[in-house]
Amino acid sequence: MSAELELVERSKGGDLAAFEELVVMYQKQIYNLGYRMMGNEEDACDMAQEAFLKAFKSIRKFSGRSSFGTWVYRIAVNVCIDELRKRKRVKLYPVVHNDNPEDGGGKLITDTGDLPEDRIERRETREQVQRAINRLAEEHRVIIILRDIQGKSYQEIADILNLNIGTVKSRISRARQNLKEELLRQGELKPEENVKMV
Amino acid sequence: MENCKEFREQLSLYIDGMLTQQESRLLEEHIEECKDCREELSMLREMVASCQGLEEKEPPEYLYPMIASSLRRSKKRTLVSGVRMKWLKPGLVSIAAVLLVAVAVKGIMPDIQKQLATQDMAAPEQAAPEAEAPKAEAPAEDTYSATQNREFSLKMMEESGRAGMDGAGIAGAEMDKKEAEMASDGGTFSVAQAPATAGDELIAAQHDRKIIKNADISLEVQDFKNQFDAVQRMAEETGGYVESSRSYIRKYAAAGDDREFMEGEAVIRVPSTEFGGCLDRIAALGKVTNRSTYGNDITLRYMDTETRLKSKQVQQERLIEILSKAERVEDILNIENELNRVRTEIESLGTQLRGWDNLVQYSTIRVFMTEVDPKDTKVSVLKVDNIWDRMRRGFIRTTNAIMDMIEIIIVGIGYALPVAILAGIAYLVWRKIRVSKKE
Repeated sequence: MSAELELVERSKGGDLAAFEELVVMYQKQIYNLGYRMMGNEEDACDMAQEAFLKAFKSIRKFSGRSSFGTWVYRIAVNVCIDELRKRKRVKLYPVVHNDNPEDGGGKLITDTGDLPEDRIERRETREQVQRAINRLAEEHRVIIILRDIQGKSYQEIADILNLNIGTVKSRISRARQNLKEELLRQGELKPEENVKMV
Repeated sequence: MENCKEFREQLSLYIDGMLTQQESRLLEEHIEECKDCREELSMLREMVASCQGLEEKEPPEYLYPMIASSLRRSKKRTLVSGVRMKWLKPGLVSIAAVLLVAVAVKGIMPDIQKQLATQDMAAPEQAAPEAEAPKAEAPAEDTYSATQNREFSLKMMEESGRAGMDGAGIAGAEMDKKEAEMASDGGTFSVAQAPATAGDELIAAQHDRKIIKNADISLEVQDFKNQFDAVQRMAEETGGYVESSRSYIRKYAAAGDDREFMEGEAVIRVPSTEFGGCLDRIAALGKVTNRSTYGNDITLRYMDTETRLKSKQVQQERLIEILSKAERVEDILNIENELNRVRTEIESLGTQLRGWDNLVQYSTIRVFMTEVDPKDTKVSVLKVDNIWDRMRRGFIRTTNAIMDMIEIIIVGIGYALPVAILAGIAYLVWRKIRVSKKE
């Protein structure tokens, strides 16, 4: 932590090498945030680049009240949401009907020893979940990604999104509800009782 | 059942363990009874689990380089603008301040203006040779012949003064010898101490002048290989040697086609008697773009060192003499220690003198050679030389013009002021008269 603070201080003094170390530390998280938000690799890279660039340009404004990670997250979330809104406005919205989601996802499971069928099934589930997430409104999408995919605590989410804890609680609740409905519509999540009754 | 709605909203928090103990207990009790809520909870759990199942993806390899290069680009930009913001404003302000002060000084104080004017007159005379030096080859030679002349005149002095000085020198030496025999402790004294007070220049005259001659010469040639070899051959022909040489290819990618030119640097040492001739012959190999000679007169330093060496030698002899007479072991050891110290010093002084001898005997010529295209030779050289000069002159001219203009304006105000005052008074008087007439 203190090492991170030192890097931040050096970055404030214009030390690019120090900032690059911070990039190395956070690029994976930020990239993943972007990937889940935007739904594809290319946009995720662009977004991560944009976010780090913005962070570097305004590093002097970083007060240190929150951690550097939280601060970068906030920038990245804003970059994503801005971009998504821009696309909505010009009716370019490839994220919703993503033909090729989770392209590299299957390759990552190498050591689980699953049967091929299991693997395929799991991959399909993942694709469906990602697709459902991509259908959520931006504010709900962000909160699902931060809470359920990246496992941030309520407090962290509150810091990143600059909300109070109460709002975070209700928004997480709301977002999960919406995601559940989305999945139900896709037929991914089947209420067991209903199936039995039918 | 009617409070299901309230519990439903708590399910999400319950999964994350964000409910208070009491809230949890109440919810758990309700779930026991309510099937729908139980189902809802298990669905939520499943969903959250599948979200958590979305693994972290490795960023692609190109991500980091992409970020790093965009950062670098932005840093360059911010640096440039930073410099602009930081330096441009104060820079302009200070320039303006200087101009104002200059104008004020020039305009308000005529005395100082006169003084400045005379200084201005003197300055160009001093600056002129400096400005011409890089352009012309002649002044460099002049400097050299001047040193030669000086050397010659000093030799004359030496000749004429020798008769008298020789006597003094011998007398001094004899005196010193006696002194050496008489002295019992290790005090230092020097053979040349007596003459040294008689004036450095005179003693210097007794010696050959020790002058280290160096020259830098830059050439543009069309046939690099032959000319570069010629320089090195020249060093050997004159009885000198090549101290170092290196040549390399410079890629020149202009106007679309890649061209390669040779460049080289050679340091040659030639006997100092051959120095001038050698330099001329090298200069004849190509177009000289820069030529400078500089001599370093080390006569006095050389003599000082020589004197110290001599005195140390005397001291050494004396120590040997004392050593032969010494009887106590302690004395012998002490004397030997001292003797060792003196010997080391003698060696180092000798090394220094030999080094100087070599430097004086062999002059150093550093040759930079660049290959150029035949058609390139004239144009580029002329341009480069002129640009700096033209720029400087242009700058001075414009600055002077601005100063003159500001001066004229201020002086103009001065001219206009009495008239304006008079006119103002006249107007006031006229108005008063008119007013009183009306009344």
